[in-house]
Parts: sequence; structure tokens; C-alpha cells
Amino acid sequence: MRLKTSSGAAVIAAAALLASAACVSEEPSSNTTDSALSGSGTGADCVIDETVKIGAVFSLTEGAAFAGLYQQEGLTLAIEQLNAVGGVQYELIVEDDKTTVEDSVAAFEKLIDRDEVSVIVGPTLSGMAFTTYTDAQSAGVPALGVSTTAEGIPEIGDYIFRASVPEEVALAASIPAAKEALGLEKVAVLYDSADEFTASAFNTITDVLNDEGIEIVVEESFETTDTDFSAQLNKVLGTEVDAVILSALPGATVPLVKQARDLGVEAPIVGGNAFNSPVLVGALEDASEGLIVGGAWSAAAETTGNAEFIAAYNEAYERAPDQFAAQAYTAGFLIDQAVRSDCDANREAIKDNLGQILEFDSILGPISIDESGEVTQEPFVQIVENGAFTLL
Amino acid sequence: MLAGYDTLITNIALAVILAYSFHVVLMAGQLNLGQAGFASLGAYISSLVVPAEPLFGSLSPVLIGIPVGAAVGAGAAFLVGLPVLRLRGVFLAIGTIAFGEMVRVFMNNAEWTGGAIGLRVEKWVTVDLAWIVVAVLAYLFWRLGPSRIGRAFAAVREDELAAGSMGVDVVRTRMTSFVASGAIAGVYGVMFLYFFGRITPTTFDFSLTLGGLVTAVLGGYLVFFGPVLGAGFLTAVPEIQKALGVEAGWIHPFITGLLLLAVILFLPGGLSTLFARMRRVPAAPDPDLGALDGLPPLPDRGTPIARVRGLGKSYGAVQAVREVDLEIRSGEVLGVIGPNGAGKTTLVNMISGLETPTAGEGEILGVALGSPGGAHRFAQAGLSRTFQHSKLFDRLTALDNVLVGTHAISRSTYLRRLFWMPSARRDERRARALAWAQLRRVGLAERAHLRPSALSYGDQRRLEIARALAAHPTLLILDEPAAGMNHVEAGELAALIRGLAEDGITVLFIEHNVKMVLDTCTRLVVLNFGEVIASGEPHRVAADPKVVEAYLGAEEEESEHVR
Repeated sequence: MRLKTSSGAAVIAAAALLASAACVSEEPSSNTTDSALSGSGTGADCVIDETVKIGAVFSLTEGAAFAGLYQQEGLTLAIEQLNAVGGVQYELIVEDDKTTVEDSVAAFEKLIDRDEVSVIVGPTLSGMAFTTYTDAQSAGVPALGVSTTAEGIPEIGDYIFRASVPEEVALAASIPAAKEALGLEKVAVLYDSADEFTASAFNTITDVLNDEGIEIVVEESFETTDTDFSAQLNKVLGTEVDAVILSALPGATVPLVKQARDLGVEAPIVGGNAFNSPVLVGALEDASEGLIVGGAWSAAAETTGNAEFIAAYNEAYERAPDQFAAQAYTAGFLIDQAVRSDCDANREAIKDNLGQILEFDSILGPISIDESGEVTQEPFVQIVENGAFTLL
Repeated sequence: MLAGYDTLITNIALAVILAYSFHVVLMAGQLNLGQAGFASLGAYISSLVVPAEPLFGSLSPVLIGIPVGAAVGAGAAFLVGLPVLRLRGVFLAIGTIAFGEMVRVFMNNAEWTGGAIGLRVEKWVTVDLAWIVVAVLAYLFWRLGPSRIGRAFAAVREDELAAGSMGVDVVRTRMTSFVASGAIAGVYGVMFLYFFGRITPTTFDFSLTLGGLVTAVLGGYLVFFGPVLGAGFLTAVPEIQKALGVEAGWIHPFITGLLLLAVILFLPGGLSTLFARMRRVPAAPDPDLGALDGLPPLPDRGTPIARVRGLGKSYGAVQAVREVDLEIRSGEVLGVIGPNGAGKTTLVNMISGLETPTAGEGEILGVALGSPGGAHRFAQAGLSRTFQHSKLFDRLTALDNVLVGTHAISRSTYLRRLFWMPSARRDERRARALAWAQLRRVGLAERAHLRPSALSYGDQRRLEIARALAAHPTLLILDEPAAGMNHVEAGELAALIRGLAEDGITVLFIEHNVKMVLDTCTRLVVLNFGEVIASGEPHRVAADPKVVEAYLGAEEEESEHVR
């Protein structure tokens, strides 16, 4: 009898719990404004008493760590320099998402609810941003992407911004530049058809080539995980092309370029963001000569503060920065700009001002972010000469 | 409550759910690595049926998605299991991995899945709901442990051949664990989709499988909450490192990997070993003779219970057994002797359904030899056996070994245990009483809590007999039970066998110890080169010149043995 009553009670308790937990409650996002986060003065004179918390979610371990570590270093460097200016003090809280969606969401939640940061930089990969940015949007926390180049990211909401030029924009810019420098008439196009970004970049490439009146003689695709490209490259060999245009991720780029040079493809190779790293040039060794790269940043560019950035980065981390570091570094200054323009570091103010950045003079050159969250920036076209990037 | 920790806590719950889908197959010893595929199918298909609006105003729509995910996962597992479960061990692992890859590629290329860009849905899963699913799973596994099907899982894991001989339907048990794994993986897929609100085909890639497997193995299957231990450990270690101020980077995964290695090296059963060690030694219940009363009566003395005619087995050109005619009557103690390689073990393997004869026909306790189906059908008909080399379940205690023996004569208790039905409790108590009675009978009651490896060789042989007896056999087959026993032990064994015969159990045994055979048998069959060369009253057979020549060899030894 005792068993019956106690188990009966347990069943009722469990049912009640189940019923309550299965309910969906719509909590309104509570966005309180902290008056200590708004200061006096504007622009360079702005003084905010409270330390402004900036969160960052990068892939510091696992798959995308090759980018995340540079991003962490670049952003940290920017924050150190901004704190040295005075007036507004920043505290940077970096979380590792281990290149997984689960940890990325958990990291966003920690930054939003526990650390109560004013703005979040990151995450490293677009795949995670699609999930985490919906959380940031519904919590009313501005988020600034520095490498999330996928289509549709700024459209997630009005709190979502990015300072990273999409791959297709960078690639598209490199083609007219290459045409001018090399006199392209006939080209071969190779692209990764399994990856959504490289595949969409391929569409842009064909459009640009058509506009420029350049003929596509060979068009071949491969998949992200392929390692042997001789079939595609032999088709290129059989024709006379002025250049090979490549839309690929870093993983396939290195073996493809090496195999192309080994097989005797001598035409210049034009590529996108994936080429834009000193690591890649190192891995390719001699095969990197003559690569033409469109990217968001160039070590050779004479933009405001670029030389100082490279020197400071080298001093701090004993290695050369790459595009990921440069874009994350820039993000720090963009946020500072947004904070100082109204001298207000509350989430709402940062959101309003990030969308009004116009021609901000950065190491990436003049950069603008509009209200929709999309970035406008002139890409850099570079060529590898004697193992170093040179502007084309 | 716990604001800002919701995702962290839910991630643990999701990891636990995924680990349970590995837990259930590891319990049954099946290395299924297709969970990513089942989860993917469950998630994508549930997205087609889950409504966009809350149910009845406020209920989470996932309540529809969860059963759909479970059904899809279970159905897919069943279909995949039909061909794949012919494989074992590493081959099964590879086959199921291939399935997971197939699903991923399919989802990547299908239109309705959104391709590589994936699906976006409303986030309907809350932290409470995730943990309720965990609680339900934990409850299901808690009740599974000491149930008939739970013991069958363990028996199949430890030794499929012995499990089949004890009446466990091995094929069905493997399929059950496989389907359960698919169902849980399907639920995981649904929970993942509706917690994060977005999936892509690569969400369910091989690294997900690997994560679930590591969590399940780390937690261990010795206790029902093993997956909770595993997921808790893997979540806590990085968080503790962070709290201690260890910088992120390569150190985190390195330390986690190091601890993982330490656990696997020193706790072979995972973290659950720590808890399994705390278990109390089971106390022997008072002899419950009432439990034995309910057993069905054995056939009357002298009734024919088995008959084979012209039975033969050839392996290619080698004729192991040929033209054997044999009839076994209830109450007999039939000895089978013969020189090494005479075909004795092959003969009893055919009789007990482990090997299919290549010639002849026969019927054992109503089951036709050579008919399709496993050895368990013979066991369920009342045949029970031991093996020439003990086939005990090494990681189970002596008591649990014997409990498996009761499989053939007990009813399934799992569903009734879920609802705490008193009849299930009664059935389990009866099974335990039967097991204890057999342990007492062979003199192992004091060592019931030990594992077979801790027992002496003679004790292991007796434990195997106790396990066989727990099935309440009509026909008991003992394959060289006295091998490795000293003559005192062999004498005790002979007395035990005579006692069994007095209880009405028919015994067929192979033995080399001729003294013991002559002491205990009522009839003797002698095999040589696969053929019966003599049969009949033991002492007369032993004196047969053909037997003396074939088996006993020299004449002067005869007087020593036959006395």
C-alpha cells in the first residue's frame, strides 16, 4: 500500500514537472540601460567611467583554430592599444567555441547573460554564426563578425554586423586587376562544388568574367576533401589559358597549386581569401610564385596604421599577422568608433552606431558598415613575388 | 534560475542522450557507429511533421517531434540492421559508419533538407525538457539492468554462443539493442535540432559519433547512469580548467585527453567501475522451495525425448560424424566416450543446435535438427549444456551467470518492471531463488558474488553446470565436465550427476574419466572415427574387444579401468 501511494505521488509530480517543462514561454528580452556605461564628451574626448566589456567567440581549438588564434591575437592587440588611449577602458573576454555549434551557443549565452557584455565579436565560422546570431539578435546584443563571409549573415537581424568582405567580392575584384596587369583573354576556372561559399563564389566569377569579356575555356569542379586534381589539371594543360581562376578552401588550395606546378601548368593562378595567408605561402614554397590573391587586407598596403600594426603584432606574438588577425584588429577599432560617437557603450547605442560607420580609416583602408549590417570595403589584389605579397 | 548556464546544462543533457544510444549497444556488445545517421534521419524527418505553433496554446511542439524521431530512428535501425547485423565487431562498426556517411551525403544533396545550408527551425527545446528526456532514459535503463532482457544483453555481450545455448535469442537480442540505439539517436537528433534551431548535414558527421562513443565508454555500462558520468566528466574537465585559469588552446584538449586515457587505463569499465565497486555483496535468500514448485514436471521416466537417425557431419572431405543412430530416453545417464577426434563434441553440438548436420535427421525435445533458427530454440525446449572449454560470462558475477540460465524458463519482466508491477517483482524473485538453489546445489553459494576469473578451475566447471541447471533442463549435456578436476572433485561431480538423474533429469555427457563414466552412466555409447562402434550397458560395453582396442588401447589397462 505504501508503495502505491508513494509511486502515485511520484507519477503526479513527474506529470506536473513534465507539463510545466514542456510549456513554451516567451520571455521578452530585457535590455536594461546602464547609465554608468554612458559618459560625457564625444569622439576622442569621450570618457566612460565603467569598464566596457567586449566579448569574443573564436575557434581557438579544433578545426578552425588556424583562424581563431590569429583573430584572438589581433583583437587583443587592438584592445590593448585602445586602452592605452584612455577615456574608455575595455575588458576583452574571449571564449573558445572548440569549432562546435554547441560550444559556440554556450559561449554566446555566457557572454550575454553572465558577463553581460556590450558587444560580441565573432564567431569564426559562418556555420556557427547562423545559430549564435539568432540568439544575439533575440537578446538584443550587437554582434560583429570578422570572418563570417557567408551569404545571409547580416540579414539575421538589425543587431548583426560584419566587417568581413565576402569571398566573392574579393575574388571579383581580383579579376579586373589581373586582366589589367596580365591582359587576360582566355582562362580556366576551377572550383570546389561541395562547399557552399566557394560554389556561390563560382557564380560571381563567371558573371565578372562575362562582364570583362574574358572567355572561359575550361571549367572544372572538385570536392572539398579531394586530394588528387590531375584529371582537372590535365584538361587545363591541354589548352592555352592566360590564367587559372581558383575558388577553393585552404585545404584543397595547397595540393592543387602544387600539383598544377608539378604538372607544368605555368599560367598565373588567381584565388580568393584562402590564399591570403603567409602560412599558405610558406606551405606552397616555390609553387606560390605568381599567385594572384584578392583579399580584405594586404601586408603591403599603405593604409593608415598598417605598418605599425604589423610591427606591433610581430613584437607581441613573434609572427606575422594574417588577414584574420587584421580583420579582428579592425573590429576593435570599429567598436571603439561606435562607442565614442555617442559616448555610450550600452548595447542599443553600439547597435545604432555600428550601423553608421562611414569610411572609417582602418588598416583595411576606408571601411563602412551600413544599417543592414553589411560591410563595404575595397579589396586588395596582390601577387606573390619572391615569396612575399606585393600589391598588383 | 541558472541564467546564463542554460546552454551549458542543456549541452550536457544532449551529450547524455547521445551517449545512451551507444550505451544500449555496448551493453549488448555491438559496436554500432551509425548513430549519426539515425540522428540525422530523426531530425530531418521530424522537421517535416513538427508544427510551427505551440500545441494547445502552450505545449512545446517537440512533444510531437520526440516520438517521431524515435520511430524514424528505430525504423531505420531495423532496416539497416537486417543486413548489417550479420557483421560483428569492427566489421559492424565499419558497416554502420558507412550508413552514417550515406545519410550525410543524401541530406547534403536532397532539396527538401536545404542542402549544405541546412534547416532553420524555432527553438522549442528548453533546458528542463532536455533533462526530462534524460530522466526518462535513465529510468528506462535503471529498470532494464536487473530484468530478463537486460541479462540477455549482458550474456550476448560476453559470449554469444553460450547465450544462445542458454535460450537467449541472440539475433533478436542484438536487433533489439540496435533498434533501441536507433530510437535514442533519433530522439537526440530531434532535441539537437529544436534546441539549436539549425542543423546542416555536417552536424551529424563522424565526429559526433566519436563524441558519443567516447562519452559512453568513459561513463561505462556497468551502471545505468554511466552516460551521465561520462558527459558530466567531459563537460566538467574543461570548465574546471577554465576556472583554474588554464588558458584555452592546445592545453585544454590535451589535459582532457590525458584524463580520458587515465580513466580507460585504470578503470576498464569506465567511471561506472567506481560505482559498481560500491555494490553490496548479494545476500543469499532463505531457500525458497516454493519457487521450485511452480516448475513444469519433467517427462516420465523412459519416455523417448530425442532421436537421431543416420546423423552425419562432414567438413569438406573430413567426415567428423557418420551414420549415428541414437535414441535418448528420459531419466537416462548416457555417457559418450571415444578417443580424441572421435567426433563426440561434434555430435553434441549437432544435438544442441550449435551445428547443422550435413546428413541424417533427428528431433530433440520436439525441435527438428537442421531447421532454421538459432540454438536458443533447443534451449527453450528444455535442452541445456556446458562446454568443453568453459564458456562463462566473464564480466558477470557467478550469481548473474546462473541467472542468465533462468532465461528459458522465465517470462520477460522489463515492461512490467517499468510500471512496478508486483508480478514482475515476483518473477524476478523466483529467478533469483532458482539461481541460488542451483548455486547451493553445486556448492558455490559462498562465492556467488565473485567473477568466474576469481574461481578455481573446478569451481568454474561447477558454475557452468549450475548455469545449465538453472534452465530446469529436461536434457542436460555435459561436455567433459571433469576435465581438469582432481579425483576428489570428480567423485563429487559423479555424485552430483547421479543426484540429477534421481531428480529425473536426463544427462548426456562426454567424459574421458572412464571410472567416472562407469560409476554414473546407465548406458554408454562409444564413438571412433565418427561412428558408433558399441553401445549398451556400461560394463559390458567397456569389455567389448572393439572398444578395448579403439579406446582403451592396451589390454592390460582394461583390468585397471573396468572393475
